[in-house]
Amino acid sequence: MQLAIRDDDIDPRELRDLFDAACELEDGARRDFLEEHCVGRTVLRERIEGLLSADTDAVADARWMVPALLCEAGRLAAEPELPFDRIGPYRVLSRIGAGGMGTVYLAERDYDGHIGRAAIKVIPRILADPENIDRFVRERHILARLNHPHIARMLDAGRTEDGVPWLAMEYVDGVPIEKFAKERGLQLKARLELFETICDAVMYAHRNLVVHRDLKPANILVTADGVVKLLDFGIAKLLSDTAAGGATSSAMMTPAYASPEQIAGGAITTSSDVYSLGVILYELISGEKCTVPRKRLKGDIENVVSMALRQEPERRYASAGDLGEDARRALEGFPVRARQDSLGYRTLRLFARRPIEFALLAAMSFAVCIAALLAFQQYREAQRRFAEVRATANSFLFGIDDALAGLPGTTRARMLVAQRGQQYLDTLASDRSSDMALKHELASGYRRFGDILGQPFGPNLGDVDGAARDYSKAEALFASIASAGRADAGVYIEWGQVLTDQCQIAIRQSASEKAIAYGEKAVQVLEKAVAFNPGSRDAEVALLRGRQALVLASLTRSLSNGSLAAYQEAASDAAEALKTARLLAGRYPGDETIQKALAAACEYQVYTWYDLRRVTVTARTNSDEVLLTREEVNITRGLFDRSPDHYRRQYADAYTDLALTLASAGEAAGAETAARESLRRFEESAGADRDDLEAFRDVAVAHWSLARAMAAGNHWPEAAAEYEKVAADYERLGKTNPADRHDQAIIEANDWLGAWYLKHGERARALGLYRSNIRALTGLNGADAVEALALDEERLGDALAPADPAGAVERYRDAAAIWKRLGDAGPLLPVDADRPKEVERKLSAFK
Amino acid sequence: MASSETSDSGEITQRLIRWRDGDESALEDLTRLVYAELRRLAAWMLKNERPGHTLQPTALVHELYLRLVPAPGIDWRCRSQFFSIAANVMRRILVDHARKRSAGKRTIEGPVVPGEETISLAGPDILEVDSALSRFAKHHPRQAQVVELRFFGGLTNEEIVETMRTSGEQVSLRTVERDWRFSRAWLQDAIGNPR
Repeated sequence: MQLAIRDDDIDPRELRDLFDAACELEDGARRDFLEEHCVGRTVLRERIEGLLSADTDAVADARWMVPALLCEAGRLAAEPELPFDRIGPYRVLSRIGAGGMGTVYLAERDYDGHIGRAAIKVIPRILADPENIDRFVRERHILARLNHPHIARMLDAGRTEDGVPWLAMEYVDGVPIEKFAKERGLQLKARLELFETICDAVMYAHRNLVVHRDLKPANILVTADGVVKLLDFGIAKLLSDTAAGGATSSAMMTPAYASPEQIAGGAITTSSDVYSLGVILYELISGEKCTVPRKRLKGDIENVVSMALRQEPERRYASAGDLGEDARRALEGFPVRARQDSLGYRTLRLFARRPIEFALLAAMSFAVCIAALLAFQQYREAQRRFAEVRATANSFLFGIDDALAGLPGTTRARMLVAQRGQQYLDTLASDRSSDMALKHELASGYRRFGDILGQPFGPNLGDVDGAARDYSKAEALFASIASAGRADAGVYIEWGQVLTDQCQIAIRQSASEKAIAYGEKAVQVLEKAVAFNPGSRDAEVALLRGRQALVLASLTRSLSNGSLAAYQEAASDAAEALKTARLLAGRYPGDETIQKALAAACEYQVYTWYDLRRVTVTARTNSDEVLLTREEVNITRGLFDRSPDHYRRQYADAYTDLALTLASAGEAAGAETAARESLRRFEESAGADRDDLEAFRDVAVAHWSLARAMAAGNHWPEAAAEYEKVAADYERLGKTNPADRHDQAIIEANDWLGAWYLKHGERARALGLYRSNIRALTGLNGADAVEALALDEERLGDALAPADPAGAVERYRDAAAIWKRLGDAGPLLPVDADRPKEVERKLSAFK
Repeated sequence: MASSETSDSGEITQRLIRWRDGDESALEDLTRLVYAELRRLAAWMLKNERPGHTLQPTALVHELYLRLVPAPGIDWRCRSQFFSIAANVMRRILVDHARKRSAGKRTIEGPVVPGEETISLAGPDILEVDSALSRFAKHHPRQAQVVELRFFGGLTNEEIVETMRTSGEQVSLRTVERDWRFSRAWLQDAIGNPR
């Protein structure tokens, strides 16, 4: 250390003496003195000068004026004292926590010679309404009944002489669960085991009619021995009932873990606890905070988390026990209860939107709010209100900067911007004004936020549920403007657009009936818009988009509903859309948006025809199908030539469609050419970015179309090779995205390859593939998936029959049961009509 | 706990003697007793504090020490000796306590609640002073003794003179004053410029 070296070189006594002498002198005399006595000894001189300077500081420094003991007394004076020595029969030892709804003390009590400890929670008198305190004390009995090894017991309750209510609970010496998991470096299995224990405990309480209401890591402690204990069960309710006024209810929960209905102030049920458990599960698995929108987890566990975090309570897990069990099943690789509805369908990719840049997003949000503010300004003259609003706007503007500064990553920042903006709109909307201009502004604002939320943020899919909420608010406002008879063409157009957006969101949420309802309404409203404003391009384009959304909804419904009528309806909706598209293309030739829509309309029509043919066993391809697909290729080529970057994918996609159509028309050579063309283009795009899963999926689909082309030309070995590629591609995709495990393409590939292996005597491999399909399809409840499952059960039975009759019988029985179930629900599709009889026949062969 | 303990000066003296004679366990009792007194003093400070009206340090310290030290009238020699031991013990108590608090461990006041640490409004970081003082004592032992008596013991310069004389150091008041000034500058420099 430098100091030691310095002082070692200096004679301490001399240092002191010189210092003493110098500090008595004035500046000038001082300098002379030092020069005289420190000749040639710069180190000494510097040291003394340093000390002299410190001396000046020290004289003014309070620390040397007050002896240490006094300082310590002062520090104690500044710290709050324990207000209690005793609480009830307990001796207070120290304070262990303080929160929004009270302080917690560590206390002990003598029980026949041995000392028991407790954590005593006291709510500040200021919050307690005297009338409720009695109820507080009475109701403790309910909580005291909870007797579970993983729930901290409630020991006692009462009130002090001053009337302060208190609760004594079992003292748990532990750390919050996320801290425990981190410190111990717990692996996934151990974490999930802890989680399941927690769910068990919550279940127990629910069975005893106690809802926790405030589940969060801070309330879940783990002792050094690894024992989990849940704290504060039901306390939130007890204390919130005891506290006076509504002001405290918002302090009673931790927003990050609270369910939507809790935040909205609605009814709280056991589902609210399930929601909180979902958040906790997410954080336990990922180690990150559960933001909105959150980063998706990998694997089935994502489905589990999603189901727990559903906005509507009734769509969540019915019980905490189910959640815990499903979490464990996800870990062990068993199928979980929470699943997508039907086979993945590639058309849904058409709705992936281009992400909005963050800066633009912020600007958009801001612009929306300013527009609303101006409308508000015009509406309300009152100064007071305006000042309030302006304060909110300011905090939106300036508060954002502060918030952004500390945030990790732009995703949170984006979310914050959107959140603030929405809150702002909510503030204005709560004004309940009947001013139409204001309503219109608000509605547009909500719609904009819906768009923002629905955007993919990086690798995420966006907050679909949040977007749905905003769209609903917008829609309601538009509807009310219309019902007041004040709607102009502009309002109808926007209203129709919101309904279109809602339709698309519902498709993404796998709610196809809801999607159709929105789509039909959208078309209805937009037809009015066109009628009100003939010749308006905006209105016509909006109507076309609405029709297309409806087609997609129809298509999705036909897959999950599975009735012949649904397929027919989808085909006719597609025809309507195509008609509208052609009309518009004729009226606005060369318009890029309309061209794009026309290409999509061609594509949809071809799909719906194809599906209809499949289910009605109409073998021959409608020649229009090929024509339409070629038209799709031509249109997208035109768009691609104009802007290659924007339409690269659509153009390559069109070739895939052409390949599939030509293959089913039996034009094998043409199909192969088209397939290779699309494959080449997609491989070029995918090559650039190894991690782009969307690009990888494109390649997988291109392999699939080539496989079909090969099969159509009877080039069996080549087809097999391509199907193998498809299987490998989807295995990789399925690792990160569960929906890809049951995509149409992989199911078909496995079926085809199964038949191929059987032909070549490789029975074991065939069995493996059929079993793989069955595993992927079990638990799905879309009609197309159920149908595929029945077919695969039958195939597996066929494959087992020669060597394992008992196994085969089991499979045939499963297939028969499925057909019966489907048949009870409604008439089977023509293509499936013979299957039940066939399966029966095969079964009877074994009797 | 705090309020139910009274400090009988006899109690404290006894424990000080035990500690001086090598009984480390006496320190814990002493700490508790001292802190009881400190808390009482703190409460008094709160009651008597008025805005703009600073408390008189000397008066307070005497108030405190009256409770801690043996009754006046006792032999000079004993009293002075007592002071030096007391000052040393106070240093030890405060430093130990400060170490525990900064490590977040339980002290007799109870475990530290994270985020509830109040920052000392006036006053040094005890640990810093203690560590600098130990270094200081290597080259300037008598001066370090002065610091300990004054800063940790709370004695006036006159009392320091008496104490040191009793233990054999021949000092004058002037010497003590100069010692204190030098030490103060040295410590200020050391704490202000950590090396």
